[in-house]
Amino acid sequence: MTTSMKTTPLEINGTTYQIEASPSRRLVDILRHDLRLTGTKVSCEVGRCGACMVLVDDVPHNSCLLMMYQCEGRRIETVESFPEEDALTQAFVEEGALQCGYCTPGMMISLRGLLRSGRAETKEALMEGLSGNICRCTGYGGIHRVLDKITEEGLS
Amino acid sequence: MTMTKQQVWRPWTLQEVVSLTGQLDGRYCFTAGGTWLRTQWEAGTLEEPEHLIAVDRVPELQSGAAVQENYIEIGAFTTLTDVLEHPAVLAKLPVLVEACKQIAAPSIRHQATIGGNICTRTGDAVPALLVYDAVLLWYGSDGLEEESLEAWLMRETEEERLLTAVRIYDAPEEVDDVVFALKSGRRETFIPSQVTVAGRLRIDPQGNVLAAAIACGGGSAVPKRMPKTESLFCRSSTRKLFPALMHDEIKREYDPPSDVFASAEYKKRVAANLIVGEWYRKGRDHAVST
Amino acid sequence: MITLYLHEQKRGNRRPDGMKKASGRLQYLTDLNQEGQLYGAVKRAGMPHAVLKQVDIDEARALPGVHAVLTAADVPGWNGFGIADPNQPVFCTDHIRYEGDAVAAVAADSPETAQAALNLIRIDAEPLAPLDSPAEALKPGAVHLHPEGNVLHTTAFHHEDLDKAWEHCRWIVEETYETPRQMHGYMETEGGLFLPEEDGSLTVHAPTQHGYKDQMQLARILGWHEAQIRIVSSPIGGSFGGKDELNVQPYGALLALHTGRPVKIHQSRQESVRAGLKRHPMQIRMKTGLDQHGRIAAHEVDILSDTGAYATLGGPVLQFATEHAVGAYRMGAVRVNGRAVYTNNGVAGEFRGFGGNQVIFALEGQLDRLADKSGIPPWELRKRNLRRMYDPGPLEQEVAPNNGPRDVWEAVQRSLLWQKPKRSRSAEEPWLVRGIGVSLAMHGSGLGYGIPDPAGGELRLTKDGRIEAAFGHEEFGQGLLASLQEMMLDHFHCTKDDIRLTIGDTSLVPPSGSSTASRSTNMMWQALQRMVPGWKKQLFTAVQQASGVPASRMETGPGGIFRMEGGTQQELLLSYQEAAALADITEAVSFHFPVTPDPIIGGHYLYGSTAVITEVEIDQRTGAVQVLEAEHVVAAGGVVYPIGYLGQIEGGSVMALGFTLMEDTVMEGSVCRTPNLDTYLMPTIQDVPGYQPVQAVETLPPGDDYGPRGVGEIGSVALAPAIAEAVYQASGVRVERLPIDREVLVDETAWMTAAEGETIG
Ligand SMILES: Cc1cc2nc3c(=O)[nH]c(=O)nc-3n(C[C@H](O)[C@H](O)[C@H](O)COP(=O)(O)OP(=O)(O)OC[C@H]3O[C@@H](n4cnc5c(N)ncnc54)[C@H](O)[C@@H]3O)c2cc1C
Ligand code: FES
Ligand code: FES
Repeated sequence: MTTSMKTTPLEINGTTYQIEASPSRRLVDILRHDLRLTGTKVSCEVGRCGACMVLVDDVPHNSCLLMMYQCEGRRIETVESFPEEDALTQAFVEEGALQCGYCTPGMMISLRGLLRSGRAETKEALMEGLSGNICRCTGYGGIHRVLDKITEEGLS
Repeated sequence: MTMTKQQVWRPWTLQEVVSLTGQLDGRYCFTAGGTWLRTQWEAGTLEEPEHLIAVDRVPELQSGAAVQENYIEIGAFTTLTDVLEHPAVLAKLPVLVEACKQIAAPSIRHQATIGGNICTRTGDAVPALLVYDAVLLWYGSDGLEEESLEAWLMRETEEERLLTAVRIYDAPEEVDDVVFALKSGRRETFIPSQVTVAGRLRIDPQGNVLAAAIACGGGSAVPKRMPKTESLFCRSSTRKLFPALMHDEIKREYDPPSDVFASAEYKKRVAANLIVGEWYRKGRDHAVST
Repeated sequence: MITLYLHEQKRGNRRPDGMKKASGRLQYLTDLNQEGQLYGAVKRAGMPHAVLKQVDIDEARALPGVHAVLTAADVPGWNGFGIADPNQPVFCTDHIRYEGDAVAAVAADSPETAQAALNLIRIDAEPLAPLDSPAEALKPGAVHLHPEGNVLHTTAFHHEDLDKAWEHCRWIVEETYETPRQMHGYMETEGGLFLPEEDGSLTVHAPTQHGYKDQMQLARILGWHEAQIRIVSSPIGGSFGGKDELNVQPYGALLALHTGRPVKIHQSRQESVRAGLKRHPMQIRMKTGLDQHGRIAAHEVDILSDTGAYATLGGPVLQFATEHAVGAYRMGAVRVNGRAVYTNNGVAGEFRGFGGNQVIFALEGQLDRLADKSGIPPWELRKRNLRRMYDPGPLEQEVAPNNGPRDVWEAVQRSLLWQKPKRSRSAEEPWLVRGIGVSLAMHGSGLGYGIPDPAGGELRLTKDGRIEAAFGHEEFGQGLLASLQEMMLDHFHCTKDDIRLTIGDTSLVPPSGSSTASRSTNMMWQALQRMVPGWKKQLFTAVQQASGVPASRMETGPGGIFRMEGGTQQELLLSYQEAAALADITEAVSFHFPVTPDPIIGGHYLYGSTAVITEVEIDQRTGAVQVLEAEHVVAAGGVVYPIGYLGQIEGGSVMALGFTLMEDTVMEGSVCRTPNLDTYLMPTIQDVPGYQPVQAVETLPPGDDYGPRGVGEIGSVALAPAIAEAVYQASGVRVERLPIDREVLVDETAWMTAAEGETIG
């Protein structure tokens, strides 16, 4: 059983941090505020935009919906843990899948989670996997082109 | 903006849950995935309580989906993703599968639980569970209790017990002849429902309906079974569809409230259209095959 | 003409900010933190209309961890902001005019403490009945929201004798159209970091579309000289017009100066929705008549614009709507009257399309209805009325020769989508019906006559050997940096590494005017045209002195200045860095956006044109509309940066799709009912057509040397009427109100009768 303020070990991007906070503190606040890992964005705080997406044990989760106690003993990865340049980031730039870029970290995490799960075979599966990520700038045209690259050219 | 002063309790056993709820005397709330709760807290429609009792460690809630001799049981703390991936659910409960696929988006389904969906009373899985005559297993100060989902939804008392699992007895041996779970909202996907319908029909080779289970819900409407509509179906045959008759019956029977985005009349019509549409589809298939 | 779509765009994307964004490494201004920072938060009124009696801040002030609680009494300068008319109070004093009105601001050790302090602030106010529509606000006896009353602005345009003109009309259509309170929905909500500097100055890191304007407005609020304030305003996580006006800057600035500490503010989405700008909802009545030849003989328009609680750019938006209510068509007699009316419904302001989207929906709707009535095919009807190259503009003003509307019209004729059957019904699922619609629009670039529209830039050779272009423009995702880079590469034939692009920081860039109204690309293009020859001359003269090679035999290239012979590059004479040591090579320019010589307020001189063809599918069980295809033709001069151009059209189009099908900030009694993204809906990837073919008509009339028109807005202006027409083709239902109400499209008759009592086969 657990009460009030507490030190909780959290594994984030391969490092274990001792976080002292209420167990109900949101992961998004721990990332952006306590650890200054600002690659994870925040936009709606109710799970409706996907800007705050992180991987928890390889699976995409909205960090605005996760409380600290729910993250204990699990492996968290944020956009910072991925390389600055790889086939996916390059495809995003080439295909115009980003403009302001604010939704992009979340999109990337959703896509990387899908690619890891091995369930990224069809365009439909990919679109479904991105249905919780809102982009206001691109109209998704560039994102469609990236998804085609993934399914047609097996980009990974 | 969030309050972060809450105490979080993470009991390991059902007994611990009961003694906690006794001690905390109404100043707590159960949290499973916490996805629905977060939306309520942020919108200010629910106060953040002083105490959270997390149900993630109680083994009885963790069973996933399990097939027993005469029932399928799904632990309350099973995520919607896990529900969607369970072979028994996939094989035997197609209506539930269709319904869960249309809930939120994948990242939410990884965290949201079936128990949480039921306990909100208006979750999109509820109509689907209703047409399977699902039974809820509760644990409270009186120990373990079973209650049909339908009966529980009709009672409007505040629930203090812990939901441990949902059971579906006599899961159909063969897949029904018509199964559907359809949802309509204000955009294509990732959308709060305005109308959710679910149904199962058994039809003999001549096209006569042998059994029907239909449920409607959506928005703030607590889903319910539609006995009059079901009985009309049971008097029908795919040889003669009488869609207008069915349409009228559904609209008479289903009584959702209006909200800022849609009128009650619209919701009735959509519910009727979605159900009769499936009926039409079946009639058409019948015509093609004979 | 080039087609920009699929993988045909092979030029590659070299957007300078691309990789940093794709990898999540780019720091936005709301990501910045500073040691010792406090957290700012604003107390909003939370009620739409009231007499404010008192704001009690004592308890909040006493809360441990709170460093400042400020109210109107703490504003040293002008307690107000607003680009056109600064009548929005920084803090309310006596009158609460909308839910998002600010009454106090706090700075505290943590966001949680700041929030707790807000909860302790007590507002003593006497509620007034909300003026929740322009009609309410215009009633005699309605409370005046501002000293001048409840009408912010009126417009009137008359041409020829309208009353007589009706006599020549054979077909007349009259209709009232209504458009929604669309939200910009930029993913990054408002915020920033405010730093009091040791020398007493203030540095503001907060997104805006016009850094110098923020500087001016903040100086006015603080009672300071502009030079004491530095504005860093890019990069920006989306804006679409919504961050052009001040938002959190006054509070951050005041709190930082008051506490002497860095202050960070980042608004929640809920606060952003309640406090932020929206698109003006407009009610547009149009009465339009055709003569027996199908020519528009008479056109009467009344525009009623809900401008919300404060002025900001409500006047200019109405002006724009007035001009675009005539648009690309030549008409016999015209009368347009517009009113922008104050209400308690939030604040409406600048938004991509600037009032064009609303009236274009109405105007194209009129043409489609007239086509129906007269039997003249809709596309033919448009052709009969389209302006020609040398015709005057919509307000009868002189404009640059412009054949754009006819160019896009021709291109549509060749579209395969347009040649498909206009309607069909699915055999298997008879509730699915499809329809095709098309529409056309012309859209002004720049702010129009009578509104200061200055431009400028600077070219420098930096000591470390870079050709630096400095502009007071902003990057909010539109690809301004990429366009600038492409233009620089064209001018200097150098590499990306030879250039430096500097924007978005008043300490580094010259004033260039705002990054709005589809003007930035054009302004930069024109500025470079003006600066490059002079700059090169300076450079080559310096190199001539050092090398002895005549300046006329030089050209810039990769890494430096080359000797040229017969147009081909010879040896490198000097690297840029070596040349930079020779002299200070700087060229600056300031000029005005090209404007019509005729003194007609709001009249434009340059325009882009577009046509959109769309195919929709309606599910008549629910009334849901799915846009299956959207094909665009755009005539806006040369394409500087293809994938950016494409992205602007795709993005603008999907924003218009949202405007047409789902987006609306619903107000009940002036209280917002859609305060977050679970109720305010924007399109997801499943709501949009995957590929939207875009054809760019690049030809400009002979002698037109104004360069590429911007395409930031034009993708968003013409889709709505095309969808409305496609919906009509599919279902027979005409829609006048957006977003389209699904209830009017539910229709079971067709398939119910087909199935009535019978087996189907
Ligand atoms: C972005 C987003 C989209 C959504 N979309 C949909 C949608 O399309 N359809 C839909 O139906 N729902 C939707 N929801 C709501 C919600 O996610 C689901 O209903 C989900 O299944 C709730 O599960 P949870 O585990 O997160 O519940 P929680 O939020 O943890 O709990 C929900 C309620 O149930 C109670 N509770 C939970 N578990 C138990 C238990 N074992 N015993 C007793 N009480 C319990 C809680 O006290 C609370 O009152 C959405 C939510 C979000 C954030
Ligand atoms: S901020 Fe978490 S989903 Fe929007
Ligand atoms: S690129 Fe701006 S929101 Fe997606």
